[in-house]
Amino acid sequence: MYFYIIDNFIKEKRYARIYHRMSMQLNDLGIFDDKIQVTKVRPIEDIVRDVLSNRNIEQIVAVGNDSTASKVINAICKHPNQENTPAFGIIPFETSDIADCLGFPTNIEDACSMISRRKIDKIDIGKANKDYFLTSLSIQQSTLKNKGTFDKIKNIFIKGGEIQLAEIQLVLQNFKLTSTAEKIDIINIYNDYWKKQLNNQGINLKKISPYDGLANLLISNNLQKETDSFSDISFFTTKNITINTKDKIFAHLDNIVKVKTPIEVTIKMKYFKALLGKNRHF
Amino acid sequence: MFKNNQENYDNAENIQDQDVETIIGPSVKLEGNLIGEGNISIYGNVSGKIETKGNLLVGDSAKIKAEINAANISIAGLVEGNINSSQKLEIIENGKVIGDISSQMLSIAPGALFSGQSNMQDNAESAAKKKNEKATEE
Repeated sequence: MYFYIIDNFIKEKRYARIYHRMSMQLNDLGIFDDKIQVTKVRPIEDIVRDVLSNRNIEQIVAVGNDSTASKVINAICKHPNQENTPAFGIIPFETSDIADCLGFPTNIEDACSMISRRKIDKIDIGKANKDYFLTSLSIQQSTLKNKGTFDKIKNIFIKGGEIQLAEIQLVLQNFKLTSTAEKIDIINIYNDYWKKQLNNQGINLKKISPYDGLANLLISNNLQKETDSFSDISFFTTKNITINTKDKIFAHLDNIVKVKTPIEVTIKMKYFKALLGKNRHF
Repeated sequence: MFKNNQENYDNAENIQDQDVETIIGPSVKLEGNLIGEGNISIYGNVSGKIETKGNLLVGDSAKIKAEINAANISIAGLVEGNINSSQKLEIIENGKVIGDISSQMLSIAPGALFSGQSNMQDNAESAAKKKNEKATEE
């Protein structure tokens, strides 16, 4: 049985036509079994908790964007009973990294068809402190450059006009790394952006797999604006990573959830049941 | 001489062109034991121990203070520590090695610096060593 969690923003008028197309397609495919609309008083976390505790469903589909997907994924993974959890799928109403990585197209009819294929597999999922991520954990220090005017003025007085990148310490299995990198990513499933960066460095993308229980650490520096690629890249594959900084900084999980340092990152091997599309990145 | 020199560069490029498992960029400092199975490229600072069954490329910006064990090793940066290569070790122009080296094949380009003792392994000797290692593993 398919259960659809429809995000609150889908109610907006501009999504009415696309929602209608989705309903028609799912009905045609005979898989529009049950649905619930997210509201302010009934958030995604509560819906997923209720559904997993009280109902026997095989597929749970997030209808919305990366934020919808991330909330559903976290709610599934945090549920105390992990036996017989449903497979996760997504129908993206906006550009979605998670949908793209799992192989679900942005065309609504095609996404519905992919959902109906019932191609299900258990894949790795990342855990950062208490939260989960499917694609990546990212720390982007260069965004500090986009801070408000007050921060810019403060920086001029305190640091002589230079934006100082925080020193980040990463502890891996047998060694520790120190870097003042602009960007740190821990990748579980790569997207097109990383594909380009990794290809440039001669890294075999076949080695980045969400079935191996390993985290892929990418440290990038010196963005060359003309080529849109980094000239200074480091790459490691490991089981666990601890991220420490002197001053607290934030990492984003799947570009949505914010987690503060220190962060313990682990990859839970073949922990998460997902519906997979044909164009998945693995 | 120039032809040989060109060959050295070609070998370094060969190592660079192969699939890389680990890259340490110029802005990264690594302390500890870097142990892997695949190819490693280093352009940053490393102190500790480096061990891989694959190849090692030490870029011109790299500064390494470590014991090194790898198959093919190509050095364009600075290495302080003993190096053991099971196949070929090459020090490219401007590469610096301070420490003892042990290898089956050794190539030092003009302009490179090597300070230490060199121990050339015989092919037969190293094959016997490998066989012994396999026997003890089994």
